[in-house]
Amino acid sequence: MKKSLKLMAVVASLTLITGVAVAPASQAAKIKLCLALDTGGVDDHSFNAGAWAGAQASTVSNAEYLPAATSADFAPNIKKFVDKGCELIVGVGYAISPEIVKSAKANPKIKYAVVDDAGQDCDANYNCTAVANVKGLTFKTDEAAFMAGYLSAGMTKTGKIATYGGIGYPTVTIFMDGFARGAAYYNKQKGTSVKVLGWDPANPKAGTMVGSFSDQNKALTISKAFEQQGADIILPVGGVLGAPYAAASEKSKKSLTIWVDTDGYYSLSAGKSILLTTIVKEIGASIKSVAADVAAKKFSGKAYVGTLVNKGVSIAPFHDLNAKVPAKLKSEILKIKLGIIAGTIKVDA
Amino acid sequence: MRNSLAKFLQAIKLPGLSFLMAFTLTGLIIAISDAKVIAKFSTPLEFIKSALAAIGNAYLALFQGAVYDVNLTKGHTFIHGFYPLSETIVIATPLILTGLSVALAFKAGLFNIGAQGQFIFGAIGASYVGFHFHLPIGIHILVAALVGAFFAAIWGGIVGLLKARTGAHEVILTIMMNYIASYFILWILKTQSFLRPGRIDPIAPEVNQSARLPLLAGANFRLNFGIFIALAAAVFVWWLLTKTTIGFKFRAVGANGQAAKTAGISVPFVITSTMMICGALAGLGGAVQVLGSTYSLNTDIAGSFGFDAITVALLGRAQPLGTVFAALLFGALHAGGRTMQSSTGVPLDIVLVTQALVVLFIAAPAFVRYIFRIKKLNASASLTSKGWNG
Amino acid sequence: MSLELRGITKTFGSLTANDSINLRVETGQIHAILGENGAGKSTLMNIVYGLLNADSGEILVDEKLVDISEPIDALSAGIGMVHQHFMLIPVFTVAENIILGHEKSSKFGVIDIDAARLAIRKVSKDFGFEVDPDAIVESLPVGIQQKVEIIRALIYEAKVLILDEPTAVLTPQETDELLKTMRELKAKGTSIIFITHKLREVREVADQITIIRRGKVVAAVSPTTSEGELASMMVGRAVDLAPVKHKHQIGEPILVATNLTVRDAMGTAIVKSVNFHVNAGEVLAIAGVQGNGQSELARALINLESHIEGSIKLAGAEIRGSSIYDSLHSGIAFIPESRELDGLVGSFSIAENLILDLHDQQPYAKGINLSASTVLSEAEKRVTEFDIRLQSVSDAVSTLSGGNKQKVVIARELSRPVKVLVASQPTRGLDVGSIEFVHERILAERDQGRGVILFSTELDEVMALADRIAVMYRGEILEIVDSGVTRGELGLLMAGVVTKKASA
Repeated sequence: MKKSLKLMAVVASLTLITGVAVAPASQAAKIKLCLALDTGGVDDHSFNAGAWAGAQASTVSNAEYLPAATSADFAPNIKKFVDKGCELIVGVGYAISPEIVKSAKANPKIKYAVVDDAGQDCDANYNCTAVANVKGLTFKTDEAAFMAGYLSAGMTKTGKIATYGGIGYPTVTIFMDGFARGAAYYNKQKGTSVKVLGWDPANPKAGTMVGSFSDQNKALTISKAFEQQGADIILPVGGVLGAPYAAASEKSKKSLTIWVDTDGYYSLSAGKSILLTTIVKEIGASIKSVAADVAAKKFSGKAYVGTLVNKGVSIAPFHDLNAKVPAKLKSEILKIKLGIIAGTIKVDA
Repeated sequence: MRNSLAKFLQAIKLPGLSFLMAFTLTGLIIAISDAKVIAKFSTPLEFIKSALAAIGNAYLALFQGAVYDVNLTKGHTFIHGFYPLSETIVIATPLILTGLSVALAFKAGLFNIGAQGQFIFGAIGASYVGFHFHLPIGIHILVAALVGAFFAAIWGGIVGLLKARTGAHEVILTIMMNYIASYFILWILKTQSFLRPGRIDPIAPEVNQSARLPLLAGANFRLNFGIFIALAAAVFVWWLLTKTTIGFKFRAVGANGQAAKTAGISVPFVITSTMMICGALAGLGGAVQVLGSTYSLNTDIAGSFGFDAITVALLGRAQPLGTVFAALLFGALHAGGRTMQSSTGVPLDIVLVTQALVVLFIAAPAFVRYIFRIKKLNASASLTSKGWNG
Repeated sequence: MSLELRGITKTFGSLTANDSINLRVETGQIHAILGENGAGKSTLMNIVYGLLNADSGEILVDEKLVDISEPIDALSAGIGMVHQHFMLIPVFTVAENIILGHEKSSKFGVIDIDAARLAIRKVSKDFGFEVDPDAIVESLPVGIQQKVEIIRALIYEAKVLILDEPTAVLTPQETDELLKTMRELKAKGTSIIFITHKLREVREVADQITIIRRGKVVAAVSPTTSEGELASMMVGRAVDLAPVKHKHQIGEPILVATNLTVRDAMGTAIVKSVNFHVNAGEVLAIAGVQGNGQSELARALINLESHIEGSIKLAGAEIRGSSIYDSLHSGIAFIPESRELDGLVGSFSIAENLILDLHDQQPYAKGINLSASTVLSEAEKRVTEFDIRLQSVSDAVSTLSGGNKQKVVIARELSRPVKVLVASQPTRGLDVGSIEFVHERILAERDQGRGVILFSTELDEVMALADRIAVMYRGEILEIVDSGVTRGELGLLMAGVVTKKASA
C-alpha cells in the first residue's frame, strides 16, 4: 500500500516536471536567434554584453545564449543550437569564427553570423573563400580609435598614454593601431611628442597583452604599471578586463580610462567619473539588423562592415568629463572625423 | 557475489550521498534564484509547486543534455538521441586521464596538483607532432600521443626528482610548475613555429587529418577513439597498482613511507617514477584533447581539466574504476549544464556550485555521516551500529 | 582518602574493555594494578580520571558516591593522574607548567606566578624533592619531569594519585628514586594506584595487587606472591620467565663497527664514534636509558640514517654507505623499534607485509608481474612457521594484536638469508606470551650461529638474553661488560657512572 502511494507520488511529480518542461512558448512569426558567446561571459560590460543586448532588443526574434568557459565549448555550444532548431546562430568573437564556419558548411539551411570576423572558410595555408550562409560582422574600429587616440594625445598632461589588449586578436589590435596612429597624428600636427605605451603598430609582437579576456587581476597589474610609468590615459581593450582598473583609478585619480565596445558610462558600476570616452562598436545594432534580414527572408552572406559613415563605430560622449575637454580639441576631433569619412585622413597607415 | 555487491555499495555510499546532498542543495539554489518562484512567495502552495517545477525542469534539462534527449531524434534515428551521452563522454575523456594522474599520485602518497601543467605539455607535444609532421594514419596518432605523454612525463618527473632530491613539497612544486606551464604555452603560441598562417593571435594550426583520433559515431558526433585510450589507461593504472612490483612499491610508500623505506624500498625512485607516470597520464589527456576534440592548441586548451581532476580523483576514491565513473559524472554535469542553461535559463555556473558542493561533502565525510546518522537513528538502531559508526 | 570502584563496565563496540570491575584502594595504600597490554588497565584509569565514561558502575570516594564525567570532576574529588606520556609543555618553566589550566591572574591580567613558585617550594620541601620552579622543563631529566607531574597533582590536593606505567621511561636508579617517593607519599597519607607490568617493582612497593586479564579482575593478591605466579595469573597460563640459554661455542666476529658516528640533520652527533663487534652465535645487548642514541645506532646499521661516518663491516665487507636495500640483502635482519611506524604498512594485508622486502625477487616477481598466488602460498607457510594467529593472510595487518604484528615483522626479516639480526626494542609493548616467543626466537638465531645485536631498555631482558652487554650513555658506549654483571652495576652505567673497568 505504502509502496504504491510512493510510486504514485513519483509518477505525479514526473508528469508535473515533464509537463512544465515541454510546455511550448509559442510565439509565431518570430525567429529563433541564438548567440554563442566568447569566453568573457555575458556580463562583460563589453562585446558579449553588447551582442546579447542587441539580440534581446530585436523585436523579430526570440533570443537565447550559451556562455563558453573555454574555447573547447565553442563547437558543442553551436551544435546545441543546431539541434535546438535555431534559425540564426551568431558567433560572438573572432575566436569562434572557425567553428561557426564549420557548422555553417554542415548545415546550409541555417543562417549564421559571426561578430568580429569575415566568417570565411580558410584552409591550412590561409586561402579563404566566402560561405554563402555566413555573414561576417566586422568593424573598422580603428576609425573611432584614431579619434580617441587624438583626443588622448590632446588631453594628456604627462605626455604619456597607454593601451593594452586581452589576447592579440586582430579585432583587439585594430583598436590599439587606431589609438596609436591617432596619437601619432596629433604629434605630427602639433609638433608634440606624446608617447604611446603598450603598443607600436610597427612592432605588434612587443605589444602588451593580458593573455586572456578574464584575468582581471593581471589587467589591473598592467594598468598600475602603466600609471607608474607616467601614463595618465589608459585604454584597455578586452571586454571586462578594464573594470577593476577603472574602479581603482576612480579612487586614485591617477589616470583616465577609455572604454571599448559599449558606452562604459552606462555599463560600468565604478569609474564613470574618470571615463574619458568609449570607442563604441555597435555590435548589438548589427545583430539586430541581421535578425531583421533573416525574419524578412532577406539574408545575404555579404559582409557587414561597421564604419564611422554607417555609424557602426563611433566615439561616445565625454559625459562627466565634457567640461574638461577644450572646445578647440572637440572641434579638431570633429574635423578628423570628417577627414576620415572623406578619406583625406588614412587611419591605417 | 552478494559479498562483492555489498562491498561495491559500501564503496559508493559516501560519494553517492555527497552527490545526493550536493544536488539537493543545488536544487534549493536553483529555486530561490528563480525570480518567478520568488514572486509566488506569498502563497506557500504555489511557491512550493513552482519551486519544484523549476528544480524539476532544470534537472530534466540536465539529464537531456547529458544522457538522452528524445527531441534530438526528430528527423534522425533514435541513436541521435544519445548525442548528449556522446558529449558527456567527450568531455569526460581527458578528465579520466587527468583524474587517473591525480589518483595514482594519491596512491603513492603524493598530492599531484600539477595535472594542469602536465596536460598543457602533453597538448603542446601532440599538437606540434600533429600539425608539423606528415606521417601515415595510425603511426601519426601514436607518435603524437607518445610525444605528448613523454613531454608531460618529463614535466612531472622534474617535480618528482626535486622532491626526491631536496625534499621540497610536491604541492608547492606542482603549483609553481603549473604557472610556468601556463605562461610557457602563452609564449610558445606566439613563436613562429606555432602561429597559424594568417593569424596573429595565439592559436596553433590544426593537426593534420592523419593525426586525428578516428570518430566513432560518424561526423555528427564528436565521440572519438580517445575514450578507449582513457579506458585503457584506467586498466593500465589498475594493473600497475595491483599486479606489479612497481605498483606494490607505490602503494607501500603511499600507505607508510617509513615502513617501506625500512624494508629497503627506494622512496626517491618511487616518488620520481610516480610523478613521471602521473605526468604521462595527464599529458595523454592533453594529447587526446588536441587530437580528438579541439584539433588545435590554444591558450585555454587545458580549461580546468587539471583542477577538476583533483575532485574527480577524490570522488573516485583514487581508484581507477571510481575515477572513470567520477569523470563521467563530471562530464555529464558539464554537458548537461549547457542544455540546462539554454532551455531553462539556469546559469551554467550552477554546475560549478554542484561540483564544489560535492568536493565539500567528500572532504568532510564526518559531516555527511553526521547528517545521515541522525536520520538512520530514528529509523532503525540496528542499522546504525552496523553501517554508520565508521 | 579511600577510593572504591563498583561494577565498572565499559564496552567499545563488541569489545568489553572493563567487565564489572570492583576495586578498593584504602587510605595511604599503594595499590598495584597488574595486567598485560590490552587487559583494560588504562581504560579503567581513564574512567576514574574522567577521560572516558563508564557504561555502568559507581565510583565512591571516602564511601560517598561521586560523579566523574570529566578530568575536572576527578581533580575536585581529589584524584590526580600522572600519565605515561607527560602532559608538560617542554619550553615552559616548571612553574608555568604547573599553573597551566589554573592560571590565576592578579590585577591588570598579569599571571600570578609567584604563588605557584611558593607552592612548588613548599611541596618540594615536604616531600624532599629538588625541583627548581624556574627551570625549563625540556632541560630537566625525565625523572625530574615526572616529579613535576607529581608535584602538580599534589599542589591541586590530590589524595589519590594514579601513576600510569611510571617506570617505563626511567633508569633503574630513577626507578628506585620513584619507589622511594611513592613510599614517602604513602607515609603522608596519599593513596596511590600504580599501573605497571613490571613484576619486580610491584613486589617491592605495593601493599595490595589486583590483576586484570581481558577486562576482568582475576585475582587480588598480596605482594608476597612470587613473580612466576603473578606472571601466570596475568597471562592465564604458566609462563617461562627466564628463557633457557644454552651454553655453546661463540664464533668469530661477524659485524664490526669502528668509529661509528651518526649525526642528525643539524649536524649534531647523536652517536659519538662508537666501537663494538658482535660474534657469530652471540647476543650483544646494547642497553641504556631510552634516548641515548640507541635508536639511531640501530638504524645506522642498515644505513637508514642519512649522516653516518665510520665503518660497518659485515663478514669483512664494508656496508656503510650502501643502500638500505643492499644492507638488508647482504645479510642483516632488522626489527625496527616501532612495529606500526617502521615495521609494517598497516593498511596492507599480512601477506603483503611479509614480502615488503622481497616483493621484487623470485619467486614473488616474474619480471614486473607480482604473483599473487605465490605471495599468498608463501604467506601461509610463514604463518604456520611463526605461529601467527590470524583469520586470513589477506586481512589488513593492522587488525592483528601487537604480538602477532611483531611476529609478522620477525617472520619477514628472517625469511632472507641472515648473518646478523638487529633487534631494536623487540618486546616493547608486547604481552608476556609474545615476549616469551620473541626471546626464544632471538636465542634460536644465536644458537644457529648468527650474530644478534639486541637494543633494549628493559634490564631484565638484557640480563636474560645477552652474552655481552654494551651500555650507551649520551651517544657513547661507556662499557662493554659480560653477562655476569649485576643489576646495580648495570644501573649505574646506564646513569653514566663508570665505576670499574669491566672485562670486554
